[in-house]
Amino acid sequence: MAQPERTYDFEIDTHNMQIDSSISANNIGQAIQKLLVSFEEDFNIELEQSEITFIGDRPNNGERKK
Amino acid sequence: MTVTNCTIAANNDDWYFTTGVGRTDGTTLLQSQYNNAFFPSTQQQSFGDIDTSVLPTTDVISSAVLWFYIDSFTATRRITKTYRVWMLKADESAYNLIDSSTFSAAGWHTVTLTAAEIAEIDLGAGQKTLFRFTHEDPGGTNFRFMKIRAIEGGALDKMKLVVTHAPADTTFVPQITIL
Repeated sequence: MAQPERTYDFEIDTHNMQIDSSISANNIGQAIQKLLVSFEEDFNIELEQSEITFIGDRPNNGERKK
Repeated sequence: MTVTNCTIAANNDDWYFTTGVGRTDGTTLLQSQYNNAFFPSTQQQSFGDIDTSVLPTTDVISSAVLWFYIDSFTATRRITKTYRVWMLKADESAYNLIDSSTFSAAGWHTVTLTAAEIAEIDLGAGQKTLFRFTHEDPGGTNFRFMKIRAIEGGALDKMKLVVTHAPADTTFVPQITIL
């Protein structure tokens, strides 16, 4: 049974840029994979593992107050 | 009298994002993106149509909540991530800003429409209501995007509009107050 999705937070340091990224995924492996694909497809950046720091994970929020 | 709650989801081919040079249909993730740090300035905004033709023009909507699922968001560190949700007015004259948020987590998010915004929902045959997702132009070196899920099924969830409405010819009609 798949785990409920959570928000996984990362810090990325690449090409002299410091970037925060939050991703909804079932597990950290899936989140990292989505992160790698996103940077490659969107910005033509092939991230290396050493450029990625996992900060933590937390529940996805179902609702947000205005 | 029964008030029918109605959930209307976007059709898969009703989603697209723009890059300033056209549009792409059928994407699984929609992006609102700004980047002038790594490439020449690139801006994208994403759109999602909701087919609101299911609601007759005679119906009165008492509440409407837009649901959308943020798959991910990214920004330069220590830069506030501010994103905006817009709704095209029924007469297509302009977009109304309906939410401006600094999201703190991925997942489902909601925007409760005001009475004035509800009044701009396109009703009747052939009508769709268009929502737009953008971010503010930071005006300097920056890097950010937000991705919204567009396809229903599997792990993906697409935007939807949940409305409470009632026929206008009933004895009880929820009243809309213009703020």
